[in-house]
Amino acid sequence: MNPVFLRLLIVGGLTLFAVVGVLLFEAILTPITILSFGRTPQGQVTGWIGLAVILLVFGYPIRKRTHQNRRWPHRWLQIHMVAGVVGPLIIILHAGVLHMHAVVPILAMVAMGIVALSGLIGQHVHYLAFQTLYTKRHELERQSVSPEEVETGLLDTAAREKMFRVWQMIHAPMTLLFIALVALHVIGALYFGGLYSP
Amino acid sequence: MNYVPLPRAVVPIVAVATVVLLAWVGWESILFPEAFWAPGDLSQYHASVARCVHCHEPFQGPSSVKCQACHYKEDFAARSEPTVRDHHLRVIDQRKTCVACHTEHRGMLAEITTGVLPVSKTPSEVDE
Repeated sequence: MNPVFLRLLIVGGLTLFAVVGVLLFEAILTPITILSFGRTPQGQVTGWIGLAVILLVFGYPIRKRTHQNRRWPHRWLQIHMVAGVVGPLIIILHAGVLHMHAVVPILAMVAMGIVALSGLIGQHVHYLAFQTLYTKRHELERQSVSPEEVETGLLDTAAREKMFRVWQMIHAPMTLLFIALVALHVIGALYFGGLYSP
Repeated sequence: MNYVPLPRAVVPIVAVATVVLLAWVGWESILFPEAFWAPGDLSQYHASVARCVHCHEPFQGPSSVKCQACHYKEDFAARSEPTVRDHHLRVIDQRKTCVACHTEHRGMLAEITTGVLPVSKTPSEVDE
């Protein structure tokens, strides 16, 4: 089996397992006689924590755009990937899929799922793109180009690689829609529920 | 590393899509606010409530003052059983919050009373 496809299967399976586990945990936390977990004060705090973790993912794209003359922000990409999975899992705990009713939070959840899923797929797109560039590295090195120029040339080419660009046109716009829907949900929850819920 | 921005058409398309989405949510919120914002359907007891602001104070949540627009002292005095009447008159006088015992938006058939009435003392117990 293709190592990339195998990796995709493992990551997909682990993600599915994590989502089911979080949903089961939320079902346990939901007081049966009264409210779903998301409507309790603890559930609302969970939502704020999930939002804070999700906001960490923007460190990487901001860093890429503001420090263009520096090396690729690899550490920020790692934070981006981890927060992009952990944040949505916390939000699933906050929302509890079986208790969802209102359209706005449901749309925000769907957008979050698309962004997170596209991010997981993006890891593999990046891997395939860089695999293609591996042969190009050897070509550049054979031309006696300096190591720094090799890195710059490869990263420039990777950014323009077609598969990566197609993926980027899904991941980035969906993120913007997700932000708009999250803002609507948070403002709506504060408007109807109050700034402070006892 | 040089950052390569998205194709120029993407940003306007996403901006238009976002504006359309917000406009749709805004319009439908006027027509169906409960479907778009509420965590659950209103119970049968409040099925006649037409607008969210009849109970919700903006950025303050469900308001006890608004509850008393329909559930006022004279109404409790006239229509409720003694235990219920006494408890609610006391709660109103003490300006306690209604949501401590009553929770809405749990569906049409849900019971909205989640608290337990304190046991009322008989006159002889009060004298003691």
